[in-house]
Order: sequence, then C-alpha cells, then structure tokens
Amino acid sequence: MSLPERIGLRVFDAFAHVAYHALPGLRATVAANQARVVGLEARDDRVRAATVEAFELYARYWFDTFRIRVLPPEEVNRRTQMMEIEHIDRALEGGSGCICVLPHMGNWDLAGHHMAINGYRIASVAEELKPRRLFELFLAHREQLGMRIVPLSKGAHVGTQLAGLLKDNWVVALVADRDLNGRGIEAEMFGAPRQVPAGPALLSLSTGAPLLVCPTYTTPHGWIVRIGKPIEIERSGTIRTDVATLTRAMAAEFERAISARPADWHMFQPAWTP
Amino acid sequence: MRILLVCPYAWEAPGGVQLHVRELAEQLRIRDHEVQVLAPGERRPPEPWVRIVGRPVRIPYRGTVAPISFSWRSWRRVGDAMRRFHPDLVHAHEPLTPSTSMLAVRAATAPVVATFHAFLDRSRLMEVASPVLRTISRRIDAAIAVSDAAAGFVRRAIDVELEIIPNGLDVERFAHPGAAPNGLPEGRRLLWVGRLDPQKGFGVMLQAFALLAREHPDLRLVVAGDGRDRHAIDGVSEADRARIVMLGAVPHDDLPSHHAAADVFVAPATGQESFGYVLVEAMAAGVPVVASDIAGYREVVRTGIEGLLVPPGDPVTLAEAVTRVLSDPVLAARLSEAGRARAAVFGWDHIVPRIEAVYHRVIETR
Repeated sequence: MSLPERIGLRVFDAFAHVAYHALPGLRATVAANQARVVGLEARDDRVRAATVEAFELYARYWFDTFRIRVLPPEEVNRRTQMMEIEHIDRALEGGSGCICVLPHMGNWDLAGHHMAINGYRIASVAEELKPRRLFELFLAHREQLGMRIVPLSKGAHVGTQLAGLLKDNWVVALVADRDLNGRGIEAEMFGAPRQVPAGPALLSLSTGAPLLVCPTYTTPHGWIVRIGKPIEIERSGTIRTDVATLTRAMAAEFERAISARPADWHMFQPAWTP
Repeated sequence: MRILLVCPYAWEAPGGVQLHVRELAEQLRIRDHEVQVLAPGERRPPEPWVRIVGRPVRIPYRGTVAPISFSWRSWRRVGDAMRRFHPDLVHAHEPLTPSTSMLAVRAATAPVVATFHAFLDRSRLMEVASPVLRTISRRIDAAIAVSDAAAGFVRRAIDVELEIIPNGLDVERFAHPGAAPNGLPEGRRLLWVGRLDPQKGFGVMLQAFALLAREHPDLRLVVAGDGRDRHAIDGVSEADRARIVMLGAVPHDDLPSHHAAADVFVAPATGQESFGYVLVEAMAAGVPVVASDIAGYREVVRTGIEGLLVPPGDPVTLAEAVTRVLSDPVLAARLSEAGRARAAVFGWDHIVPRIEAVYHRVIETR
C-alpha cells in the first residue's frame, strides 16, 4: 500500500469517527438497523461496536470507490477475491443475459469495475440526482469504472432499455435493497416486514434472464465478491404471485448476505419503518 | 352562419386536433353552415373549404413534435383570409399555441370562440409571454375545454366563460367497421393505437406483453402508430417479437377494421393525456378497454363499468387486468356493451348541437 493511500485511509477513517460522534440522528438510525440484524437491543455494546464499524466501512466505501479508478487493473484483480464467477458464465451461455442483485454492502462499484476489466459487458442504473451537474459527475465516474449506466429518468422506461441489454447478453447489476418507486413487495427481513423493490424480479420474469444474488464484502486490504446461483422459483401461473415469490426469495438471499457481515451493510436510512 | 375554424397544426399531419377540426367542419357543413378552415400546411388540401396559411415548422415539445406556423407571412395570410371570408364567428383551436389560431384571434373582428384540447402545465404556460397571453385571452368571448383536465388549465390561464364539451367522434364508423384486415396473425389480439412517444407508455406495454406472452400462448399484440419509442421493440426477445405486429402509422380511416379484429384495447399512457380519444374509438367498436388510471382517461372510462383502469407505469397490474378480460368472457361482454353505450355520448349528433349553442350565445350577447 502506497503512502498516499495509507494517508487517505486514515483521513477517511477520521471522517467516519467524526460523523459517528457529530451526527446522533444518523448514528441512531444505523444502530437501529444493526440491532435488528443482529437481534440485540440498540443500546447493547455489541451493537454500538457494529455501528462504529458500519461508519468506518461506509467511509471506506467512499474512499475505495474513487481510489479504484486509479488502481492498475492487475492491482484490482490482486485485491479482489471473486468467488464462483462461473455462475455468471453459465448464465450467459443461456444467451438472455443475467441480472446480478445485491444489497448496499461492501463495494458494488468495485464488483462492477472488476467484471468490466475482466471482459464482462456490465450495465447498471442510476437514480437521477439534482443538481444535474452532480448527476453527470456520478455518471461519468461509474462509466470510467467501465460500466454502462442507464439513467432512471422520469420519461424513459428503464425496463425496456435493460431488456435490450439483456437480450444482447449483457450483465445487468442492480443494488436492490431500497424501494424507490413505492411499488415494492413486502418481504420479511430479519423478522420484520419491509418493502423490497420488485423491479429485478419483474425484469427477470419478463426477459427470461436469471437472477443472481451477488454480495460484496470489504476486507482489510481489498474485497470479496461472491456470485450466487440463479434463484429458482416454482411458477404459480399468475404474474403477481411469481414477482412476489421471486422478490421474497431475493430478499431471503439478501438476509443471508447481510448476516454474514452486518457492519458492511451501508444502510444509512431507516431500513424498517417503525 | 359563416364560421371560420382555425387549426394551429399542419393540416396533413396526423393529430387529434386536426381530426377534430376536420370532422367538426364536415358536421357544421351538413347542418347548413358556411365553413372555412385556416391551417398551416405543406401542400394543397383535398378539401376546397380549407385554406392553407403558412408552412409548418416542426417544433419538438415534450417528446412530441408540433407542426406549427408563426411567421410574418402566415400573419398576413390569416388577415387576408379573414377579410375575404368575413365570418360571423371565429372558432380558434388551441389559441395559446403560437401558431395560426393565435394569429387569427388577434386578427378577428367577429366574436371568438376558443377550444382548448391539451392539458398543459404551468411550465408550458410560462413559455408564452404573459402580455401576449392577456391580449389573446381578452379577445376570446367563450371558451370550450374538451375535458376537465384541459378546463383546469384554461381556468388558471385566462378568465372567460368556459364550457366542457368533449371531442366529437364518428361513432358510426367504428361501430360498423366492415371486414378485418387481411394478413393479421391468428390468435387473440391486443390492440395499441397511438404515437410511440414516451408518455404513451409503450415500454410498459412491451413489458406487460412479455409477461402476458407466457400465460397466453395464442396472444398477439398489434401496434398501430409510430414514434421515437419504436426502438423499445429492440429489447423484446425473439420469441415475443414474432408475436408483435408493428403496423407503423395507420390512416385514421383504416383504424376501425383493426378494432374489429381486436380482443382487448390497451392504452397504458403514463400521464398528460387530456382526453381519451383512442378509448372512445375502441369503446364505439365494442372492444373492451384496459387503460391507465389518469385524469384524461377517467373522464371517458369508469373503471369496472366501461373498462378497467390500472395505475400508470405498472406492467404487472396492466398484464393482470388484460388477463382478467381475456379469461372472463362475461366481463368482456359487459365492458363491451357498456363501452358502446358510453361512446354514443361522444357522437357528433350529441356534440354539434352543444357547440352550436355556444356560437349562438356568443353572437347574441355581442
């Protein structure tokens, strides 16, 4: 690790601790999420430790996401442990593309970048931000990482654009633990119901592209990406039921992924409505 | 009565306003009025009672293109036409669009009736400089809005007497369409009629069709219309693509035969529709309607009675509603029958006398 990188990490770590102390509201939100995941009271010492770590890992995410742009590809490969990528290879043999979904955890930008530099055609979506200029910066950033980004703008129907990419056998990667349009499916996660976006399941069912849950984790000097098997469900014959079943199966996989390392879940807003 | 109808959009271009003006002119002529139509245009129209004033310029707006004309030359020609025809009354359509209608309202000495078709929001309103707006609105003696949605806009923009009279429709033509066109695929058919613009929801339609295609192996989708969203079809799988017929733009006269061959009419527009013209046509033809639950469509269809309305932008609910109609012949027959009855209200026989009443009132009070 180079000196500037070490200094950068220290600075971001310091930010994390300042934020942890200076933002009691945010701290309480993160603590509530962590408490729910580990099944303890929010005031429990172990939850407090997890909350501090969550702040640290989220700062790490922001540091890394800009850092990986300047890391040489072989360095990215050296620091990334990509597990069971053959699930994607096998899915792409089907010719209908594949949909990789994950919760906001570890570093999804890294995962996308890693796949892009290793020859995969990978696309994702981005929520439109105001101001416009900031949004363009984000788009440019993600595209420099090698991903094709489809803006989630009001007018365009993003589903058809993603369907087109899947038809061309692209990988479509979606962070899918927050329901943005209010049309989510209620799924139980860690013993309490929350809204989980139905978009990935809908896309999978309407295009025939398999849906794979692919969590990523932060390690002291790099990252782990674990590619899941395609989720199989039993078709019921009604569309709504199938979308709900597939979405709930996805949520169950998310639950498993998050339990493996709760502090690496960058959930900085209430994940469950009280 | 000598009536000058003014249309702001290119006469030969397809569009709801042009269609309305053409049919209104024909209906008024049948009823012994002397009618002249002013409109921009590229070429001489087949109708001798239409005068072309100015060449259209295509202005892109909100994903659609408005072929309008606003030039010194059209200004002069509108004035000339006005002096020659010497109307008892000027009926201008969409006078707040900077085109022929706006010029005609400025030039008119006779009383002015204005019809507002589009539901426009404030941002569009701001594009029109407000002094111009005020000058125009002072010249309007009575206003007609084609829907509640359009009326809401007019009330915010100008202060005139306002009546809601929906667009008239040649119900008979859709009710007795003749034979279905040749070469349509076998099986049950969904029909789409309308421009392929983003606000019409073509992407939602395709996603819903991909879901429906699995459930109903005999189902086809027939698309009458063209536009920049046509590329959305590229995202459809080969298997589903083979079951979609893209007709491109279909002449309005040929539409009824496609209705005759349809099992369900689908209109998943995502908003900004002022009036469900296409829904009334489908209802007149007795085709059960599944459409978005948006203001302009709610005025035409009551959900569960004349059709099924679903939240806009939701392909799952759209697909479910289509499945309900396809799998329940009793429901389909009930929607079809209620739709025909409802469509009759929008027939010209009902509409023209209401417009004539406005004309008479304006002339008498002037």
